[in-house]
Amino acid sequence: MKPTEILRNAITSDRFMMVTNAYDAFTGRLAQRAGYDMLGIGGYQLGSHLCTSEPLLTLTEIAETTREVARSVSIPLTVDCGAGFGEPLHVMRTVREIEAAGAAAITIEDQIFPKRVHYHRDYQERTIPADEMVDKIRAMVQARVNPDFILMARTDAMKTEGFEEGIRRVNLYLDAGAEVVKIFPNTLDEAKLAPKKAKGPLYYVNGVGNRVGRPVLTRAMAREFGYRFLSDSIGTLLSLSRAVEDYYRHWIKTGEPLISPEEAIKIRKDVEDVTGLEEMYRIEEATTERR
Amino acid sequence: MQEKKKTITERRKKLRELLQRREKLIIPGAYDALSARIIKGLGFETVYLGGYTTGAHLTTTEPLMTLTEQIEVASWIVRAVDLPLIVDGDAGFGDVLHTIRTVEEFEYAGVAGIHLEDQVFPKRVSYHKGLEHIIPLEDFEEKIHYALSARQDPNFIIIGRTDAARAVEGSYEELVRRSRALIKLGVDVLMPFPSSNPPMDMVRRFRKDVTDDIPMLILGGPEYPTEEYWNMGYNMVIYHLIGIFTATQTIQRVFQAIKENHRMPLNVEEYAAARAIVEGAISLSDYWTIEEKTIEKKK
Repeated sequence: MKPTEILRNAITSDRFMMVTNAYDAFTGRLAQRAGYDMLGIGGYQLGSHLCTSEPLLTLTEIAETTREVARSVSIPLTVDCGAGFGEPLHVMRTVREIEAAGAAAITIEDQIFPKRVHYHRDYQERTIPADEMVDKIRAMVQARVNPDFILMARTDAMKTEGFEEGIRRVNLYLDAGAEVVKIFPNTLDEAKLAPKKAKGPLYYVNGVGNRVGRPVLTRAMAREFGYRFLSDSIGTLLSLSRAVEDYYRHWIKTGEPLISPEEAIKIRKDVEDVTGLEEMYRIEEATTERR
Repeated sequence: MQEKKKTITERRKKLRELLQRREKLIIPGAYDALSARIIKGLGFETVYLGGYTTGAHLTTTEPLMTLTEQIEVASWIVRAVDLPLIVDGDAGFGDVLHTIRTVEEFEYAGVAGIHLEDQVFPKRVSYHKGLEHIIPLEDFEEKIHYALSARQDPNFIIIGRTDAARAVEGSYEELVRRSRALIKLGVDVLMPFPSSNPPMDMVRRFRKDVTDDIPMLILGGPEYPTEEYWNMGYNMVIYHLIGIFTATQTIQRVFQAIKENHRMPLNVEEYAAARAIVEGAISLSDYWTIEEKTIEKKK
């Protein structure tokens, strides 16, 4: 089944989706191998990956990563495109680029554009008026080519304007044509309440390491509360960052590798399996290596 | 390919020298590497890449074009010709931080200079029909200040452009005010008009009111000879669109003819002559020489 169909079916069949954000083909493959139902590409990780920060990322950079990840996995991929890179016309181009790049879904949020780096500083977001966001969502609907391509909206209004306005926007965005809405409740009570007040499927974004006390849900909690998606937005980067830094520092400090030769052989085989070397060996054996 | 190419540093120094001498320049607009090669082949000293042309080349339109796309096209040209390349850096692709990234990316790409304007960002497609909006001068001053400080190479040229002459929020007085502010901030070149068809009386009057000794860049239109602009005090005249316009027109004519007549509108000699222009521009014979000396020798 195509990733777009998998996601469309999941939405219509009430299937719960465990999502993690990858930022390249390799981490995407690792997540798929581990058993995630779906992948995301998020701005925070990609912005850090390129050392530009999310608000300075270009659409082209996100589309390029989308192509890399989408062609390397078979599970659906949703791509966070920030504020859609501008006004309705820019949003339309953004949707077309990301759909053409092979994503199964796209997310556009109601933050201001150009985005400001300050929103990373304890979520000091600035949001646009709801009616402007509704125009953007209508532009998304107009731009989509494949009707199975899923349009997700994200509201940051629970932080900027409070829970009630956040919920109002969720339902407004669903009415305008968004099929899933990503939300950021401020407290556990809000997180529990939101799915009861929303008229459509909600996507909970776990911002691990957030400094504002925003709840990080377990899978059991997310299901119990009534969310349809639970995503780990930056866990890939945090865990890789820790592991790689430990490895580097150990080398510099001791002059020796942190990983033993036996262990390294096992890991290397894993890496090669994720890359898909075995299949390529088979093809070469049947062709060029046969001669 | 065989001749030694000028380094990025040499190209920028060259442009800086031309500007310091207030040299009267004709700067043709390329829209890809091949058109830039043709321009270099004609002996021009500098080449230009506009935003309009990249937007047209990619069919996205300029306001929907990304920084990465403009950098990519600029990089093709930088690799293809060793002339100083001036690029349209639009509105810096955002706020101050985005403008800093814009300067860094273009400088890293090997471009010799960019122009930055006071249009709103995100840019709107309506500005192509003259409906244009500009940001407050204080915001623009901040952008330019940070753009100037963001360069590593002091010979990387920052051209200040104001669209106040025709923006909804602008006026002639505002154009003069913004131009003086840009000069005061230390831009290397001033570009006081956003299009190739400003009212000529305004163009003339502007140089009588703003008499500063600073290189002035203007987009040349079809109505006037280059000397007209030079004589009015605009030493850098860019012909930014005629390349892509006429190339496109030729493609349209040729395929229209093939569609109608089921035959090329060129004879054998004309076809060979056209081919020779392209193959000369991409230096095919240089590659043949290398192959003859290496892999083809072994056969």
